Amino acid sequence: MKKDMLREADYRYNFDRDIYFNRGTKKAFSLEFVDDRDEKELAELIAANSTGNGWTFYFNSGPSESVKRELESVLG
Amino acid sequence: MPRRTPEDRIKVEDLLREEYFDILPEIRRVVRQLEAQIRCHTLPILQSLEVHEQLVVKSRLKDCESALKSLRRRQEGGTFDLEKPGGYTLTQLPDLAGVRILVFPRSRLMEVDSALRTLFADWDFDPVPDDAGGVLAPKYNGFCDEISRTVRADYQVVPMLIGLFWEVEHSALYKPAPAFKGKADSEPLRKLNSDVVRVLTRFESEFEEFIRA
Repeated sequence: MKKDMLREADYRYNFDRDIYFNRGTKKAFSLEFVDDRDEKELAELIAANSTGNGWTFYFNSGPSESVKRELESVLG
Repeated sequence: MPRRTPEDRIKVEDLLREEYFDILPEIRRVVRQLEAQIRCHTLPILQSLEVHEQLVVKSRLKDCESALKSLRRRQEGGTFDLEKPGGYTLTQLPDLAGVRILVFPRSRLMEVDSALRTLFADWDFDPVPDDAGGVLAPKYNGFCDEISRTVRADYQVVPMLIGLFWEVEHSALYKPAPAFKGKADSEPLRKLNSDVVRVLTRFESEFEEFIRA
């Protein structure tokens, strides 16, 4: 189950934004993105090293800078 | 559609609030029309209820802030893109106007659903699912063509015990006080919510068995 994979990798779910996020690795997956990927691909992305210091957002349609900024402020 | 343009550099939410109050009279007309039609077509069932049976029709129009939140949550990442402030419209929502028909016991629910289905044959079926992948409450959305081709409405036929529970639960989970924000909408509460629905459904089944015996 993809949900279990994310939970085991310390991802929490933000019900207001419908995203899975991990503050440690600074990665966030939208619900739509998770739904549209198979478990293998999702496992690879969870395991991938973070790039840079900021958040990495995995969205079906890449979020704009303003969307990233708002989500970064929400996620901390 | 919002009157201002993106050049106004106004926030998405403000444009949508403006739109909301532009279409509010239309939403009110749709609610009145839908409620009247539903009351009219369920009247024969209402007149034939046994003493222990109930049928209650309730209507509501989505308030401005709920509509904004609902539209925002439909965006990927639950966030409006400030770089396209004119790119959103509340008329994308399927439930600006709504009617809920509460029925007890469940055996009457299918009767009400069938009676209304003929009246709203071209509306989209979008049921509230139960935990087992079945239908907890039939729900439909579409247009009251005589009144509006802009404001979409929905109606749902709900087991009364669950519907009354939802009224309290919805206030707590979806319209939390600022202090509860982010806390009430939690996994444990969602699980308890499912448990309550399951138990109420069992109670209703047991009650029906009792009546038939």
